[in-house]
Amino acid sequence: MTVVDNLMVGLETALTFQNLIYCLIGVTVGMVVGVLPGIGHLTAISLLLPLTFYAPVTAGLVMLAGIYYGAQYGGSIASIMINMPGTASSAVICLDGYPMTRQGKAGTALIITTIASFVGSCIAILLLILLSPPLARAALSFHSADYFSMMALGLVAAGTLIQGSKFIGAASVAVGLLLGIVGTDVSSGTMRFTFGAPQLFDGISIVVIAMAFFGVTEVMTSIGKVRDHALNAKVTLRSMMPSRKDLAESRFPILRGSAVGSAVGILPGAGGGSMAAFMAYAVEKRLSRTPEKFGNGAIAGISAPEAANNAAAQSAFIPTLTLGIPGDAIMALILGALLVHGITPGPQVIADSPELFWGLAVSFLVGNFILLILNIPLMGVWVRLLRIPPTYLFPAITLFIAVGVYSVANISFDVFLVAGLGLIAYIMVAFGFEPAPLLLGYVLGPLIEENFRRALLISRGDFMIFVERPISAIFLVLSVLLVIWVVMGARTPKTETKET
Amino acid sequence: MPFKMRKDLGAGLIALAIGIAVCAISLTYRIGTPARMGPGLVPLVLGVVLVLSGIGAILTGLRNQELATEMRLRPMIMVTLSLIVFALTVERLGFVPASALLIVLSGLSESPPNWRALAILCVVLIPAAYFLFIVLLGIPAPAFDWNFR
Repeated sequence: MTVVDNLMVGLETALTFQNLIYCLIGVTVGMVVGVLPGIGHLTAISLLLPLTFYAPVTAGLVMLAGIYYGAQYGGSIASIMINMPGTASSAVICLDGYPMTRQGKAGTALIITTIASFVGSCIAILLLILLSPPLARAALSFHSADYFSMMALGLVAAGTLIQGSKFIGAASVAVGLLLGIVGTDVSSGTMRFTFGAPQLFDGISIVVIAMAFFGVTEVMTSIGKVRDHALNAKVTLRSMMPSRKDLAESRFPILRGSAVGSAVGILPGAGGGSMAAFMAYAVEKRLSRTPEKFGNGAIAGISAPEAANNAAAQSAFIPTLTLGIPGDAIMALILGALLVHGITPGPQVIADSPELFWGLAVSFLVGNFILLILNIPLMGVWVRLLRIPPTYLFPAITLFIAVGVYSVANISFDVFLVAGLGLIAYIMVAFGFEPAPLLLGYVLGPLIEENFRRALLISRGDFMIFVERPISAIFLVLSVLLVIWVVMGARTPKTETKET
Repeated sequence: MPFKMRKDLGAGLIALAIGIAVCAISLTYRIGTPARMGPGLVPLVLGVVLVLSGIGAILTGLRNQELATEMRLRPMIMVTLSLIVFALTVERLGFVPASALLIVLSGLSESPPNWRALAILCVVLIPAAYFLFIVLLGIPAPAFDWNFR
């Protein structure tokens, strides 16, 4: 099949009424949570995860993905208007976006970030369409040893590429892996860590884990806090018309940002959007002939990072959908949704369910068009969302957590579980445990154990199989290099730049 | 009333405690050989990883005085309580009273609680949630009930 045939399959799937509706819901919810500081896209995706179990798998994924990239559009609005990032990956936009607002150029900043988001997304989607089929074909020859090593690299990266203590990063991954193997062991039938509770025989639902670590902790962190940033600037359609000069100044930063973002998004464990945005900002500042402008409303300081975080949000789907290896916590949730629907993620997905893969890819394009329409004429509405007092938000989220968790199996046991795990999660996160690597571990836990077991079964217990197979060896060497690099880096004085 | 503790030290102790418990439980499962792995092998390895990283974090924590993020006691208690009360009441009193209790209890995290906002939330949110989850998605929970066995 040629690319055109594939895209036709995708168009047919993406343009069904049902999928269009789910796409619209996804990007709209994404915009809303993106705009509102205090709830991130991880929280939103966790909250809506149970709803996808009631929908066909493609529609559910179209919605979840829509939330993710929709939030990347919305996130910059709060950064620009009230100097508070709506999502973590928009933190960099504050640096130059808010100064622009104070200079009365809020409208320009908003339109430029919208254009940058759109271009960045489209470039990464193109990459997804072109790169995924050959990558998946190559990965079809992977053996269990290769899979084990690839997942190990993903986990090592997730545990070490964090701020703060690497020991706690490693512990976070281990706790996640352990949470993932709770339940009946597939090969022996042994009940592991169930403590005799029959409700745990099938393991802990991904919804419970996601809600505990990204729902309950967020509510406990943010409920009852006063938002002290006032919304001053007004945005009219007229003020959003960009000048020729603004456009010309953003053209190359947007393209460079898209390239940086696409590359970072593909790397597993690299941290997704936030990392991409920071790197793009650093690149622009270094290349600029007027670096002193950065921080005082440089237009390249918003266009490049915004293109980068959107590109990363799209290109992150490449390893997730072709190799079954999620790069960050959001991709882990997407993978979890696939598993719940009985689809084993991996290179066979494109061949076995082309309508899923190509439908999703085309829905990204559709979703980005919807976002463009939602953003330009309706910008005033989104800006006004910032006036909602947080008092209304968090009890509503708590209710959504309770009902959502209850809806998975209609048992109140899961709600007790989310209450207990949520409290533990809040305490652990306060001490520096990282929820994102933990979730990655939870999703990969059963898969990595299975591949490890299978590889050793084939080699009759000989561990050399992991280094004799070249692909596996490469991944293991990369993991070891990463650990060495991190250990060496730990000796140099740390720069504490903790962003929230 | 927030409270603070040493960050790495606390995290290390948590990891160490979980690690020891996991190792102890894993040893009750069959460990097996590499060629025929038992269900206990992977958990045991992870337990050891937790113990080692816990010790590592404690050692760094002896020097690193950095404090853990402030934990907010009131939301911790009220949000947990609201979820537990929802779990206890949803099948006994029904969806509507359980949701109202949850909204009010979680709203008590704020001091003083914003009663007007909570009343509005109850009136607007509960019918919306009822429609979405019970009418649309068909979750079998009654709106009102009185069921104490």
